[in-house]
Amino acid sequence: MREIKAVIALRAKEEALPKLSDESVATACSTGDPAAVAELFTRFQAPVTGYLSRLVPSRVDVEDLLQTTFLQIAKGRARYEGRASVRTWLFGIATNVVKHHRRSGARFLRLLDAARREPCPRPPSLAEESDAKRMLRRVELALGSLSRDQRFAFVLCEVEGLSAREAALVLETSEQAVWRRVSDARRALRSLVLREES
Amino acid sequence: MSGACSHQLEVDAWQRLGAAATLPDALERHLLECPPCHAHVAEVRALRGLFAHLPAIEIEQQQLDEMRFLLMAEARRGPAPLASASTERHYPRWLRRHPFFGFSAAVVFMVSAAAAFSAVRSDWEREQGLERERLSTLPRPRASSAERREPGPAALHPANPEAAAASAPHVEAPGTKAASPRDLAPRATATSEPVRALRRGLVAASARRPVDERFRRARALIGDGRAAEAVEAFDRLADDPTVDAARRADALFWAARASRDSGDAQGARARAEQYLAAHPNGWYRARAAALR
Repeated sequence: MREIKAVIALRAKEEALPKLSDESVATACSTGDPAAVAELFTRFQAPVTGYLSRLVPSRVDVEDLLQTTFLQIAKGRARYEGRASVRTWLFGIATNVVKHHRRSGARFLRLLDAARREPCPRPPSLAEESDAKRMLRRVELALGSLSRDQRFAFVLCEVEGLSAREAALVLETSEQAVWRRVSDARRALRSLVLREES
Repeated sequence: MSGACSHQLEVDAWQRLGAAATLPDALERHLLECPPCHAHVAEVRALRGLFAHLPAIEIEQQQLDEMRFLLMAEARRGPAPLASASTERHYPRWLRRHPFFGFSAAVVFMVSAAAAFSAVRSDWEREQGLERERLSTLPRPRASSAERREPGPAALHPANPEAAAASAPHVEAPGTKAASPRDLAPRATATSEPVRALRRGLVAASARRPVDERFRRARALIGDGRAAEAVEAFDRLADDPTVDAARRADALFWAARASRDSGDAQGARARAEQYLAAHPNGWYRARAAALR
């Protein structure tokens, strides 16, 4: 016990890491600071996971894409330059990662392995589902029916709450193009979701 | 929405601010008087409400731990030497729109690269020729006793002419003077310096990895049921000033966890409290709180 106290007294001298802003943490990542990378992951893994969940349906793929997104930063391939908020910057990296996502042989085998291990329940019929679940399933299907560009724009603006300007930064296109895609997506979804609901 | 309403632009501007933006009060009041705008905004809100409740895929905590470990290890290795900011590329619009231009640029680049390579190669060959001439004018060294020994079996193999040539006894021309070792030593060229620097960088990067290895080994001790040894290993890591702060914080939590596994509840509590005091927003805060 005395030994523990001595160790704790020694450690107590260390100052707690100051609470840095998101921008400072993101900037520090470009210096290869492992603590900064870990802190960025702690703060933003949940929103990035949420964003990726709306773009790809498989859990294994989301795990892969999340790791790849943050690896771009850890390896110094993506550096924060302060042109947008950190969340927008991360969504931009994640979007590029999703765009370049190709199912390699190893990844496909892992996917098969995961599918084998996970019990695949019979999808419930519409009659068995509660109204809320049925609606969620319909929403997911409707989102999946959009084109890739429309889905990116719609998820960024209407689900993640980015402005059209920020989404244009993420997608490396014009604000007008983003808004056109969002409008097209909304029109398609309106006919798919709201009409069935009514 | 009716195109006749004068507030259409304002509603559009609100929509463009994204789902997180609140509707201005003036526009909210307008909705009470304008049924088309009201219907439009209600529809937008209904659609946003539907998608806001889409559940996110949950990743297991263990997977996240491993991911975080890997990220820190990668960051410790330092940035890639020829890192390209894939997310920050800004090609000109014409290049993006017309693949033909991109293809032409690639062809021009390849032709230039080939021309440059052949030019460098011819220079190098000319220098090699001069070097051979210079060496041929130098007197040959006296053959040592080792060089005069019989050729080995490898050298006698017909499929190994290089070894045979290397081990063949060297006959000194009469009347020639032996060259000094300095003449025969490979001369340092201008390119060897960057190569040495690169090698030094790689060695330095690999020297930073033992921290991760120590951490990994200590985690394995917990898995093997050797919790007491794991506590010592993690304590050493947590107290090592050469280890970065993030890894030391993690080691502190895992020391607490290993203490609990070894039956030392008091030690586990003390370490968990210390972790929470130093890192209230740390990665392991929830699990450390459970250890208290």
